[in-house]
Amino acid sequence: MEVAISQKVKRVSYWSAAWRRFNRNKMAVAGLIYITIIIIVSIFTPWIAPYPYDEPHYAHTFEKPSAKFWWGTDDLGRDMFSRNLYAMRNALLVGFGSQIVVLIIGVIIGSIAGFRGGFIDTLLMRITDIMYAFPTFLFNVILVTVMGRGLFTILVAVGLTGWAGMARLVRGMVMYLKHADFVEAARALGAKESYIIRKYILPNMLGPIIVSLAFGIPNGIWIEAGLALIGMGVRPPMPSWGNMIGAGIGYIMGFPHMVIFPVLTFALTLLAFTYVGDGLRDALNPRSEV
Amino acid sequence: MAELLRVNNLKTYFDRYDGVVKAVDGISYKLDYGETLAIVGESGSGKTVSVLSLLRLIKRNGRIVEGEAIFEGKDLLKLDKEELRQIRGKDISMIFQDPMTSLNPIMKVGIQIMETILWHRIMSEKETKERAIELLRVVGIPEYKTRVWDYPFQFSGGMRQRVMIAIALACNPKLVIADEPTTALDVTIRAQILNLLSDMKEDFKTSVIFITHDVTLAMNFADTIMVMYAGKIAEYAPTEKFIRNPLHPYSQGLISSTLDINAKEGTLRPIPGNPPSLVNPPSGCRFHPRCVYAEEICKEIEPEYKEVEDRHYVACHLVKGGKFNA
Amino acid sequence: MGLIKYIIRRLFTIFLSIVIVIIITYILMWFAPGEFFNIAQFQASAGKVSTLTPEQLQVLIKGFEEKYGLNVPLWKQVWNYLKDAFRFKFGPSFSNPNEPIEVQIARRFPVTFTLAILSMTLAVLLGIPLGIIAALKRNTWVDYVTMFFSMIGSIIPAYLIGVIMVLILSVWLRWLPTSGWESPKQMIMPVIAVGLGPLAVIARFMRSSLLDILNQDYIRTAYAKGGTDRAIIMRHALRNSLIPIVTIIGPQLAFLFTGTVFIENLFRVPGLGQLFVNAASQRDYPLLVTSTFILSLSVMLMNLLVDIVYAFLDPRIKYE
Repeated sequence: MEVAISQKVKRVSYWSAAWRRFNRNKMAVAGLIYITIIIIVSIFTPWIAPYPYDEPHYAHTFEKPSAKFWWGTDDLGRDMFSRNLYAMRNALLVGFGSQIVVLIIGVIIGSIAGFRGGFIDTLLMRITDIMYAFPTFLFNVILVTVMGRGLFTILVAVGLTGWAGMARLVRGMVMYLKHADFVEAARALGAKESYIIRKYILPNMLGPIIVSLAFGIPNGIWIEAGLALIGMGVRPPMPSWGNMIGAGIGYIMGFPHMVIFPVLTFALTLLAFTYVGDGLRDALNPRSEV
Repeated sequence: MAELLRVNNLKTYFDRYDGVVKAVDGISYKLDYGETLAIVGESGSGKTVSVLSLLRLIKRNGRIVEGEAIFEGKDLLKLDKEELRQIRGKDISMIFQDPMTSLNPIMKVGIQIMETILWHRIMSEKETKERAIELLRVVGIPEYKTRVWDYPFQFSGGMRQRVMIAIALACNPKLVIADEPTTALDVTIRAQILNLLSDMKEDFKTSVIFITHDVTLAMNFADTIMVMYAGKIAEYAPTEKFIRNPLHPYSQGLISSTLDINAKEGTLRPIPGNPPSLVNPPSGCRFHPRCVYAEEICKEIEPEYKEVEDRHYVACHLVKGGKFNA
Repeated sequence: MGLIKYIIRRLFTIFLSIVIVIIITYILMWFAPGEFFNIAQFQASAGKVSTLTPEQLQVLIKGFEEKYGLNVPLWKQVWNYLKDAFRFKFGPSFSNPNEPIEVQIARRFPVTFTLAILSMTLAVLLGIPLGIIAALKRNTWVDYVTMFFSMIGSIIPAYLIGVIMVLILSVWLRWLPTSGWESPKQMIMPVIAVGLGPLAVIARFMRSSLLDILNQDYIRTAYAKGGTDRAIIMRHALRNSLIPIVTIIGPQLAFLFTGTVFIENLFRVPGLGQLFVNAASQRDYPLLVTSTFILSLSVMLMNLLVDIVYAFLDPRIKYE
């Protein structure tokens, strides 16, 4: 199985070359550091947060940032810093979770469409065409109305409205790889179909899939926050950047700190994921050079 | 015949991530009115870059480091933008290699021809339109009166190349530079295009610089042949002298690597090896790694480019007294 | 004519898509947690805490079901809805039974439409020149700055932009009011908030499209023919690079309409977006289905318009 061995060697150097390219992109590296930090923080939030997110301090409502409450308090005297931590945690949960859903649905449907072609393929193409031009947020709202407001249902809703891009991507790659020269060569040498899928097709699909997921995470985050903003997100007192901003808007003239901190952390997180996504795309696909 | 163009020690380098690519590294030649010069070489020999340098059409990361290109008394490399612009398309025009990509896909063919005339304010718009139609007729496009308002994608490859020729001839230039004009075309079309170019040469007495990798084509078409290798000139001679007495081993290699229907079996001899890196060219004579006659001196010292008999120049240590001594 | 056939085909696809969307939405609503009874009670008692007997409750529910056509099987409900929908008659809504939905929509549609058109115009009129400048002054500070802000503008969601604008322009600088849709001053922030995202995307795309074109062989041919920078950019580069822009305007429209949903909510603009949000939070199912229908239809029709414009611009399309 010499062909397999040389393929393995190629894979190792592909990834390390990509890692090298990624590292040259300073903004992407900065974004990655930020993301790593917030992931760690989010995992340990229940231990890190100074206060529970729902603990009111009626004597200390609307307070500006201080030593006691690092980022101030909201209308019920709850600590903004802790609430922000939990909001970030929820955002990441929805962001990553939704992409798992997208990955599963997208890969399954895309592979079937790509392999089998025919009816399923045309159907998939029609559906993705419709979804491409459709304001999917509306659908997210409807799904949440139906499934109920909760972290898990929101995550699933985002996944259900977002799989089309992934499916299309997978379908395209499967179709291309099915007939690619090096795959034909392996087939001619007698490799089994499952072997070909495992060793040839899947590794070559990983790059674009990873990039798609990387961009899907901020998408999930902003939908989650958007839902919360219009009152369709996680139920209070559970915090979300969306409902913190939504609540804070009413008091924005007098107590802007209620809005500034969520806005900043939210924006930074989105930017970080986007820079990382850009970096990944350039690293894994060296042709894109403008 | 009077001299139209004289190039002195032209050097054009490119900046790349792994170093400086010395695409053209010191070439000098001259061209008379009405003369056809063929520049022959492999890909990477610098032939295209050398002519693009004349009109300063080099890509952003390239720079003309040194040299002169005296055209009718003016140095093209030192002209300001506007003066150069006036020469481009009017006195010197170019035919590019790939007619598919060299024409604007969403602009009518007639307009693209008219542009070059209108930009030089030679005649009125009405006259320009008539001239464009006439040009299409001259280059042999059938139904030229209607096809002049078609788009490039409605033409075949050969037809598109004829359109490019029409554009190049529109302002009656003194010099036409044709960069591998037939390489992208079918063999059957090739002959037609070459005949067309021949006729143009005859009828309008234009000078032509013709770039090709096909030495046989050059020998059939040109008055003078210039062989380039790795950014330098290997040999320069009037065609009859070149055919009778090719001095540089590379030229000899080029000729013997072509197919001759009359030759005996077993005489097809390709030149061994690959084109050299232009970032790190070989020491001494750049051809020495592939030269079957290479000697010690060839590896160390770069041969001087000099005239070895009347109008016959070569850069090779093994040429003495107008003869090749292996 | 090929174009007429194309339009008809597209309209048919849109029709099908909308029907599917409505059906799916309607069915989803049917599965939603049932709060009809609460609403019925609320309506009957008009705000008072009700103490109805079970029999009175039954009567109320029957009346409610009749009024909203809920006493027939699901498929018939969907069919009834669809029949009337395409004649733009949607019946009463849960939360406001006295005003037929179509009247509410008629009142609010112009508002959202204005907001959308103004924002899109802003995005196109500013985005394209910005992209062109960034491309022509590539790798200079102008390029870096414009592209940096474009990146931010395309990542940050519309509502976040809106909030940040309020923070800076209303809270800090006190230049602009925080809500309303009457005076031009009130309109500035909503329009910018909705349009900034598409503007950023258009600018980035224009830049890369133009740079791509400038690298093409036919640009080199144009220079070889003796063209000036100005003539070549205007006659060859710009026209060729504007055509792809039209292709991204389509998806930007969907983006834009989503933005209006949030921005109308944030700035209290009385448009369709606000209607949608109210419907969602109040579980007003007829209104919800209908506003989804109208918003989606608008996006799809505008997309069709964009595609027609594209067909006019690119001569290659006409001959397919």
